[in-house]
Amino acid sequence: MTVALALGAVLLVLAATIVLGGMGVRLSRTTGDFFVASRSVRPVWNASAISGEYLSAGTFLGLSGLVLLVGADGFWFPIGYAAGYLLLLLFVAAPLRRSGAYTIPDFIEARLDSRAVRRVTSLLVIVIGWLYIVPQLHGAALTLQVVANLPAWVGAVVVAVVVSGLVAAGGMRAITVVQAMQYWVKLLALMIPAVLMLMVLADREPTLEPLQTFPVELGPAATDPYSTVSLMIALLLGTIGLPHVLVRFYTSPDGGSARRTTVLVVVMIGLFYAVSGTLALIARVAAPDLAQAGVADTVVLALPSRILPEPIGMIVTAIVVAGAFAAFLATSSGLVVSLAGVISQDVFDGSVRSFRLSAVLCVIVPLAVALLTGPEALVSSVGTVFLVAATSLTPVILLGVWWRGLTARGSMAGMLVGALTVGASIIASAVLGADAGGLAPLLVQPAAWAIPLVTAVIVLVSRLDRRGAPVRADRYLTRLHLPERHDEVG
Amino acid sequence: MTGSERPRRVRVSFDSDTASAVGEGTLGIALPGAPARDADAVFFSDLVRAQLRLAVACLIGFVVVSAMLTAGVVVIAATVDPPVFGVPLSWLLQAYAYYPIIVLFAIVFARSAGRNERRFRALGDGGHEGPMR
Repeated sequence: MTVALALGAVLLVLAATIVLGGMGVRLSRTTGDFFVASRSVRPVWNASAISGEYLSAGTFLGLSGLVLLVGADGFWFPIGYAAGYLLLLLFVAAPLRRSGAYTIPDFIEARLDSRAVRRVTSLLVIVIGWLYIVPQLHGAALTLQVVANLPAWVGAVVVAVVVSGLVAAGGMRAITVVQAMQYWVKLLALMIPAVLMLMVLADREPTLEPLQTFPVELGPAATDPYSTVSLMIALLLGTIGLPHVLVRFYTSPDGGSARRTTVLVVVMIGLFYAVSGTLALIARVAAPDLAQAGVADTVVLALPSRILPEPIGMIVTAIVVAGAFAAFLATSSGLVVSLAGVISQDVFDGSVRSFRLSAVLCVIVPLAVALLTGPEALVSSVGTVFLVAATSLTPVILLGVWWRGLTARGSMAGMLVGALTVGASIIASAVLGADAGGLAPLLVQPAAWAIPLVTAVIVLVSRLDRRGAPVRADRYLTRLHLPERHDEVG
Repeated sequence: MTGSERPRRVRVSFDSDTASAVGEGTLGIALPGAPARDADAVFFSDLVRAQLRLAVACLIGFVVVSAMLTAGVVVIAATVDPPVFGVPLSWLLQAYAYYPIIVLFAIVFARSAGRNERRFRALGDGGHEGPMR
């Protein structure tokens, strides 16, 4: 019965996704529709869509699992993800909307007037996007494995097929409607269980003392200052460098509306994280036995049937499964739209036909990786993506918006140093493990030293670059910061 | 012959600068265009500096307030930490208290940045809404 309900819920979300996507397809007729929904999406819809695509498997399933495993330190991840949007708002939201580009490589090329730096940026965007799609597919595999006892590959393949088909058929316009719906599905899929479970738990005598459920050694006082600060730097700055986040600002009508949209997004994702955090606290109370690596990420799926009476428990489990699938679909489709935009422009001719082909191509690689690897801890996999984006792309984007002296060579040097540094750190910390001794925190959380290093490399190489800043730098910076003439900013 | 009486052919050119500055749409890779009008250019660097100052001030404010909250949470966790609905207060603060701060700074920034741009426009259009901060 539980399996039938859960599979029914998955089918319902898939059907809603395909129907809404189909409605969007009928509206998608131009190249602009495919890439950026012709820049005509209203702030509330756009904010729902941005939030829908930002809230991935990492926080839907992973947050509760992480808090169950490591305690209050797990809450730093959603705080960092939400604060990342604040930084995006402060430094890049309006200027990037005004940049007139479709993708990050478009922006970098137009700003630095260099095809070479564009190619490096495109490569990084594609790698970051692929790395981000893999945990979504892992989450789908894990969910169907736990609730329906299906082989792991089924969930991953279902999400990959639906997402690539939808993006190929309808592009950004179809995706915007679908993702906006998926935000509300995800929020309700956590909020309804949270409220019902709190009502039941409020009448129950706790079996453990608060200090056993929430031990001091896993509480906020036990946090390691360096690791926390470095993690927060990576998460705060990582958001700016995520390919699927930036492209969303191009769907706002103007810079002022991009800012208002971002404020709404901060409210929406904050609300979602607060609800998700509530489930994490409930998990510590009701499912301490699931605090094992590899199992912890399934705790959100297990909670309703443990706490709620039947058949309510089964129904609520199905609702949670629906929300989880909305999370996998929304984030993956946002990423695929962005990657397909980049691949179709850089590898093909940028037409709608090439966009469709690219959409299919850019799902195949992460699907292969997901099928060949097992599901890791979902939150930390997503955290690694933020780290790579924060060290390689974010410094170039920030300096590109605010520093006239940035050159193509400086950017290229910074991106390469950032990618190599973070790659080496990840490999070294995996290989050395505990043998790294005092260096271990620096290798596990390299953002605090790697981002200043990359920024210094960019500034130094740009200063030494005899070619100097592009001749059109001033005009382009004017474009980024000049408010639109029709504007209604506020 | 009437040829000499015909009006002389005059070359008419399109002033792309003026046209592109007004409500320009962009397609594909938008190459730099839309240069500022003269009046805008006078105040433009002030606007950029004001926006950067505002962004940095909001960032510093957010970091300081968050650091104070973190210090408070750590002190509570290490000392009294009264349970609220069965959950230690420090855990509740860690789970919920940062989001309102993020939202607050987001609203303050968006409003102030919009105000900076309106002032810039007012100055550029010959209005007198007051000097830019």
